[in-house]
Amino acid sequence: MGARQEITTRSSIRTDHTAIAARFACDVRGQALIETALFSMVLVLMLAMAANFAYVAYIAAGITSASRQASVYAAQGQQATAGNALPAVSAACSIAANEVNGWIGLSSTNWSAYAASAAISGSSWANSSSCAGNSYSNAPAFNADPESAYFTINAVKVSAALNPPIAFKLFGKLSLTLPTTIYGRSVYMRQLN
Amino acid sequence: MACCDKTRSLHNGKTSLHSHSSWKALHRCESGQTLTVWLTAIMVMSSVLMGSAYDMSVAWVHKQWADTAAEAACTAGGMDLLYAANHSTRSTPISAYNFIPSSGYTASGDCSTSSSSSMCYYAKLNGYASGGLISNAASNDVSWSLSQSPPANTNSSTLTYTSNNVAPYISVAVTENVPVTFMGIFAHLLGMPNAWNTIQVAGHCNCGLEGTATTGSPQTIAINAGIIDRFGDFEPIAAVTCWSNSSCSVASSPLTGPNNPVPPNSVVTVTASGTARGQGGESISGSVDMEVSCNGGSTWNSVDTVHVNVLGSSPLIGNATCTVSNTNQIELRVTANLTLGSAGPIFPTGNSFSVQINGASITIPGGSTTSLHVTSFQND
Repeated sequence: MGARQEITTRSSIRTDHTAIAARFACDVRGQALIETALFSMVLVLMLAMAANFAYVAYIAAGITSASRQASVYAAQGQQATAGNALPAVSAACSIAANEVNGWIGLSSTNWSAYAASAAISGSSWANSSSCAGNSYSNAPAFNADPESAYFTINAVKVSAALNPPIAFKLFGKLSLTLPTTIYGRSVYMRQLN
Repeated sequence: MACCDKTRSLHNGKTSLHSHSSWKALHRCESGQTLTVWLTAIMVMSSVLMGSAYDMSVAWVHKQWADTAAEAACTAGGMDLLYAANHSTRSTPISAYNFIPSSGYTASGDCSTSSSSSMCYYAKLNGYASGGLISNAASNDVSWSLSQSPPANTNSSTLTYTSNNVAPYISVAVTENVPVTFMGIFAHLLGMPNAWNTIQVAGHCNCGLEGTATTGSPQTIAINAGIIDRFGDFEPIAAVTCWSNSSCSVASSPLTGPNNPVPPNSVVTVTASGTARGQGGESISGSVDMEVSCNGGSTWNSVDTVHVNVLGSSPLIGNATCTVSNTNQIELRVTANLTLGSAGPIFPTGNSFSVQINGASITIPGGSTTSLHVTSFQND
């Protein structure tokens, strides 16, 4: 009898544990909330990533435009007061600055522009100008014009430090979104002396 | 609810539930599946849509890069055209990079097969090495063409060729296959080329020479005016003495061109002046024809026909227009049809008269000159 009672007791305990497990597993109360919460976290994170990347693309297009406009001005622009005189490197740099300040809307500490030009038959940049001071500012890589005895080459490099507008951090430390990214673009254009 | 009702009935009935049976019950539980499937579907759709948005953002940035490279390449080629126009040549400064045809106005090339032009060099500097397009793989191609016609709907000048017959317009196309993930599915369904793993973006630039016409001042150059010889006598350019009342003519030796060479094929005005007189002071009547040849005497153009009917010396002056060829050799010819009158009071009858041209000049008209510069007409 004693042994049988013990077996019955063990069986009932096991039955109770299983029943409890079955109860929790099959009880759908709150399940939708938990699942939606879990999925929502992932969805919101994805949306944040999409928004951040859209911002990066926006800035990248703007920086490309700024360096391009500045290079075109350097290659084709003419100083109004001096007839055919070509603009100085600093003028091209200012064009890039106007583009960045006026269109992208980056704060002045988060971007830089660097304009440079080579002399006829030069083997390095002869003139250069940086029009925004921060640690990202550096000259574009030098490349000589293939017919450097007759043409000069202009280059404008615009760089920016991109901070994602939406930042999530796990436990305050691990970033779940884009880190700060430095993006730069150099544009080279030819100029006839 | 059915699942939970079944569970409750198991408990309420105090039925001894075997563990195997309870797990089977768990597996039979289907509540919440609809929500899970629904959320999973939303997740997948969101991923696809956001992935496509990511792809399109990447493609848009690459499009900006392609546009920039096209403009840089086009400007570089335009600078070569400007150099050729300004230096009256049909070649780039260094022949190894020449892309201007020696005749005609059209030419085209692809940087994947010939990369020596400045357009290919600058496209490469700006990120497009033009290895040629590869289906469904990241790749790019740069091509160019020369034309006499500016892009449509542009307020370009009507320049169709430069003064040295160089085509003034150049077009550069940069095409890139950009790798994508999700957008490739849609792009393929939309019929875009090479669109399973890539979508194609392109940048175009039309640029070329634009001119500003200005009218210059006429330039007059004296040619071999009469000189004072070593005896102190005046030596005219051309002179003839006739000993009877008849016609006679003489042509000057070919006059060398002016110190400043006359541009070939320019239309110049030649002005000559001279005198006709009776050697004995007789009156003369008749006419003197002055003629000019701008190409060494092969074709004579009438400078003027001067009728003289005055006593003594008679001023002759006239001008004519002719086209100077490359020889720059100008000749003058005078033909006189004169009749001597009675002898003058100083000299007895002399029976002779002379005609001489003392000087001539050419005038180069101040035609319109064109100041060229490179302009981007269209960039998209």
